[in-house]
Amino acid sequence: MPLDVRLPISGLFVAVGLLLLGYGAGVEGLGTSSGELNTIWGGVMLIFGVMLGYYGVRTERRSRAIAEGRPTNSDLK
Amino acid sequence: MKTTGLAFVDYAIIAVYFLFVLGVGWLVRRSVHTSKDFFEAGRRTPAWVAGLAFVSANLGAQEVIGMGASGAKYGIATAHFYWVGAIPAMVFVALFMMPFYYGSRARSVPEYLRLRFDEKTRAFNAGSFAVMTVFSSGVSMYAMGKLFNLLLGWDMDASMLAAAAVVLAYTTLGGLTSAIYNEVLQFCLIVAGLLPLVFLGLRDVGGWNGLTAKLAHAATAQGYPAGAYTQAWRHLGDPSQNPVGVEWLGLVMGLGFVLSFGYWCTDFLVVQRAMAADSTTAARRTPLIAAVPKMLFPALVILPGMIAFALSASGGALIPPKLTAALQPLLDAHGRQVLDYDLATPSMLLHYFPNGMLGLGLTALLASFMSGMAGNVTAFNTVWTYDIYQSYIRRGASDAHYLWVGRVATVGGVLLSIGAAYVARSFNNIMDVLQLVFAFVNAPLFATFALGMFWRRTTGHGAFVGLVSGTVAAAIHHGLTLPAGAVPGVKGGYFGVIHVFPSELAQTFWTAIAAFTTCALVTTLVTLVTRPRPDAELRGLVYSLTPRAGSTDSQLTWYHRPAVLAAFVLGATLVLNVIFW
Repeated sequence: MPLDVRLPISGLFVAVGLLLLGYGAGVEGLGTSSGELNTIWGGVMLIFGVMLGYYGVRTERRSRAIAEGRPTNSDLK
Repeated sequence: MKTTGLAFVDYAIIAVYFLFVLGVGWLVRRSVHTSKDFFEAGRRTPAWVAGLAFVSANLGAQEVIGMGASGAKYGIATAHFYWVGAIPAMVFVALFMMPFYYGSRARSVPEYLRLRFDEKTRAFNAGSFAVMTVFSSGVSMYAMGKLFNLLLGWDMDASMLAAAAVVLAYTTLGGLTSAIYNEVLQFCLIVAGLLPLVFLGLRDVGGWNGLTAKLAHAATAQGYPAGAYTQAWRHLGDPSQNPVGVEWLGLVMGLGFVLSFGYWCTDFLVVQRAMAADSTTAARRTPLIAAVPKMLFPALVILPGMIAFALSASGGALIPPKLTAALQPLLDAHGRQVLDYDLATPSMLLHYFPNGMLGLGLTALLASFMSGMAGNVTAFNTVWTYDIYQSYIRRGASDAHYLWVGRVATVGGVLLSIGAAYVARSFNNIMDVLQLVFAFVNAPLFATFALGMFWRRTTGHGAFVGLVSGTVAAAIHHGLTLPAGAVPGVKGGYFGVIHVFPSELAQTFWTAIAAFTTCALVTTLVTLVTRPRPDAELRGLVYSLTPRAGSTDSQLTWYHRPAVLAAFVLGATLVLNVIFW
């Protein structure tokens, strides 16, 4: 595959998560129910996006190493 | 209905989403060099990616909006479309049909029909499928434009054309790979956009117990047993005792067998995703992986509709009434307002989501529309190029030429879809017509496939005459019956009325059963009087002449084995049916 599909999903979730988090905490404020909702769900999306990005980058590096014949982390253990 | 203006953050979320789907198309285009890359994603897609794309291509706007509407109208019985009407067929296509589709090296479902039967059977299927995909895509586009116009006052033409332009851009650039990547992304976004809605709605009605109590009140007020909206099977003994108006036999045979197997096993829109997998084993695992989220979708798409109905029934007026041409509320025979169930899920979004989350929810609806449309467009360009252009217009051209034709067909498919959307605009009930066309086309097609794959004597003449007869039988059955309360016309009864069904669903299920049975009988009879093809020509195309695909499964880790996955999926579905019995 041309790239790991987790990377664009990760990017989208991080971007939308930051928008919700910034709008909820910064513009609406944590004292309001709508601010709390935006902040909490923005945080959840941000964390999910970062985790997905971590696994995506790791897999991408491993496949590149295999393609170039270099040893991967699991080979070195 | 509550109306909400969008804030800058909502537009920003929609803009970010557009940017990412276009970016995916731009990145993927570098890997598209041949027609195989464009139409088949190079057959190098991992099973989990193909699996999520498989389920996402089916998760169009009609699914998200339509299942919410059915949830509001019929309650938990709508889950039968998943637990009876999808999961068993997905397991069947994975275990028994993918080895033929993938192993025969056919590039499309119509091409498999040519290999197995003959040219005329392929031409019949390719033509009807191409028309169906364009109409389906157009109706979906129209539904989305109308929805955004009603909800936000957006210009219908502008919202339809903008979304179509984005889909056109990324499918033309990256073909099936781009569509699959974006389908996975859209799947994640749809879940992220709808999950908080379910949580907020359930919290508001007092959890599942509170919802059950509210819906029990609504059910008894309409003359149904208290559990009619929250118990999936208990009231299916008598059609008058459940809001769907069907009995268990019609449901299991019509939906669970004919319509479901007809769609999941033969519709190239979904089968194409599995055929893009990187091996036969991955292709077999694709529908099974897709079945895991599919069995849980009722919680995501049906529950919001049920909650909206419960709140409306207890005086919340969440679902607006349907309006007449004179913009007055539509009343039923008892003088009660008829609710516009299609607005159940969108009304929930406006009711519960503040700005920010609202942008995410609307983006989820946009994503569902775009994934459905891209699925139709990529299936259309493949069938057009391989099964119509390459077969009947220009044979033997270079691969680069067919790649170019595929891109032109993508543009053509989107333009035809836009045309179909404007046709849909001039008909009140084009959705009903479309559902019916699916019952006419897919139900007999499953009989053709089942006989063709598992009875090697089945002949091309038998398959073709059976398919045509099945479609004619569907038209006759539909033309002689009506759903209760309807007048003869597009809903049936155009040849005279000899039977009235309690609901449109019941009529559709039995129309499908009539089409399937006729096709199976006629195919069998014609086969018996025509000459079968020699066995040597059928190797890899029929069950009895193909090495078992599962023979190498023992080398796989146990949880990667299709049979283990299938057992898990069926077991979990059974548990869900028992819980909501």
